[in-house]
Amino acid sequence: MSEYVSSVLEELVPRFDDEHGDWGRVVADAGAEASTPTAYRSPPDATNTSSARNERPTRWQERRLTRRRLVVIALTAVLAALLVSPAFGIGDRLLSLIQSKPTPLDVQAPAWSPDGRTIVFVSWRDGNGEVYAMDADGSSPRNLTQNPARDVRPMWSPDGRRIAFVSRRDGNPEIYVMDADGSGKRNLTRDRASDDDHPTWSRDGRRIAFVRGRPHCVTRGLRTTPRRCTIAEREGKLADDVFRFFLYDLYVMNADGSGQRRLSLRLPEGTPQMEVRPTGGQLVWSPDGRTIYYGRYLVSVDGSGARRLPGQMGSGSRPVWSPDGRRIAFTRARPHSQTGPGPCCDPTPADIYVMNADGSGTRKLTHSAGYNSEPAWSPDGRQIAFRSTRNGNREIYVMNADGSNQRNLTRNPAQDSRPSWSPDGRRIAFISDRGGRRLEAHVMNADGSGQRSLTLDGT
Amino acid sequence: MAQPQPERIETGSIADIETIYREHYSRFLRFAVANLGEVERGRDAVHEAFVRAIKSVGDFRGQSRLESWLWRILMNVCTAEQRRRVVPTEDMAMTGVEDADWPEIRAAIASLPERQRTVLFLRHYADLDYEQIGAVLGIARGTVAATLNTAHARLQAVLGEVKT
Repeated sequence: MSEYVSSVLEELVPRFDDEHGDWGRVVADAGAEASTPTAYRSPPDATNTSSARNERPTRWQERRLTRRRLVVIALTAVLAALLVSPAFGIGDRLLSLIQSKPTPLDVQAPAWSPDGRTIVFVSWRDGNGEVYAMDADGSSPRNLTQNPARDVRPMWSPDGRRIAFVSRRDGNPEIYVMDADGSGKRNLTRDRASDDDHPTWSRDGRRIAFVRGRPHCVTRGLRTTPRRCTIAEREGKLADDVFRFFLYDLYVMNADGSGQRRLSLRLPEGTPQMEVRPTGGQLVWSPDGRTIYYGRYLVSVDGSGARRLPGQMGSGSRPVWSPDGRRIAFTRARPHSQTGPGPCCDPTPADIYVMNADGSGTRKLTHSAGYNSEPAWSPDGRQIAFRSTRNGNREIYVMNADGSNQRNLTRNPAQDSRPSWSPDGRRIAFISDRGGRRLEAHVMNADGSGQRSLTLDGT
Repeated sequence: MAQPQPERIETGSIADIETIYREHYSRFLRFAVANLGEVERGRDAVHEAFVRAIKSVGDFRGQSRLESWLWRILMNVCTAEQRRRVVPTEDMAMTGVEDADWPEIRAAIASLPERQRTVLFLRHYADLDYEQIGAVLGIARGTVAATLNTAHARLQAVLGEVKT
């Protein structure tokens, strides 16, 4: 072949030899979404050649996950959930609880009730996901769902009286709600043709937003129904040119399941259709309940439209509303081609921005080298804690909400990340690998003093 | 000459997926960027592909090598992403990356039939050999070679015009 063609192709797309991905985030996202209805069911059966057919097919292997791996995944989920939880103030109690009690660790998605008295979590001890609850001291664990189907992703209503969750008990993933004691389970979505996930309560508890995925199939460039694909595949007609996928939409409904509406709207002419993906980012209600942030979009709950946020905000942009709901802080990467790799662990330099809640008035708050990300508003909205690699390794910084007075709080050669304020604004929790150990939860005073481990001290 | 590696017994565990991810992340990313045209979207695609792989590891039936299965997942994520997106007309030729170099060759790549473009990307950006490409796409080695030759010929013709 022509070396000239090869050389041009080589120039067209840069190499990324200095990038190694973020396996921890992959595992965390997959673990946190273990209930997701296999957004991807199976790859196109393009290996259906004679040699491939002679191989022995393996059976469903999900049970191959060893207990140890589940524990690792669950611990990652526990730490992540704790440190992004607005109820951080009691997070250290849960961590100490996990250390001190023989609590089964094969759990996911622990969530405190709004009154702090009860913890719900998902356990896989029976081989399928079940939603459990226990008292805050670890006593009285009880299975709230008790069903052989997978029940996962419990979400407390703001008043603490109900729990939304995702269940496959009717054959496919649906959004359910039950009372806090496990009684009164109701299927809210009732749509056998689609898979529903990620229930998220509005702050007034009157509505639930969720993501709905519908299966599609494309063959030879034409979209058709999954059923037709299945029939054609069975007849051997589409062996080498078929793939299945889900298309996702953002929905909102009343808390009783009525009034389901699709919010994923086509944007103004010339801009792409709204992209909704199972791993596309957080689904966050604005404090006033009028807007939902999802992925790269601000979506009006009244259905009047969606606005794509400016620039390239990847799913890792982690936008966060200010406590008063008037501003949003987020991370935006600088183009790789302009800057080259960053100094440390985050290959592409990035900055923290803030904009008004309507998407206007974007301002860049960080201007230093390195990767500045994970903004976290202080409860009073006056400061933003964040992660930065400007000094060569990941450190927790804090700045005023206008970007002034940026200072390094952690000053440690370890990798520190995921800052999260306590409700009273006096402490900041974060994750660190200091001491050469695995990632552990730490806490410090808001001025950086008094740094200590939550998970290692006293053990 | 390197000895052919013995075929591993593929169990499809998360640990196996992790090994492949860590060893070949840069190749997965380059392939995704070539398909989606933006580094950030490429990262998202690789991330999503491996999340899906973990979540559907039970669907891996051992009919192919695990790595081939992962490449297919990434390929599907990229393809679905491309088809889902309504691309403005002026971007139709930008199948490559975000920079605007080589507009003619980008247009030529964009105009290739999907199969040819996929084989081209798997060869040049995923750095797979003909056997591996055949395993990913479920086609014979000879078909891979013929498809790649056709794609190269079309690009060569365009480049010839560019040079003159």
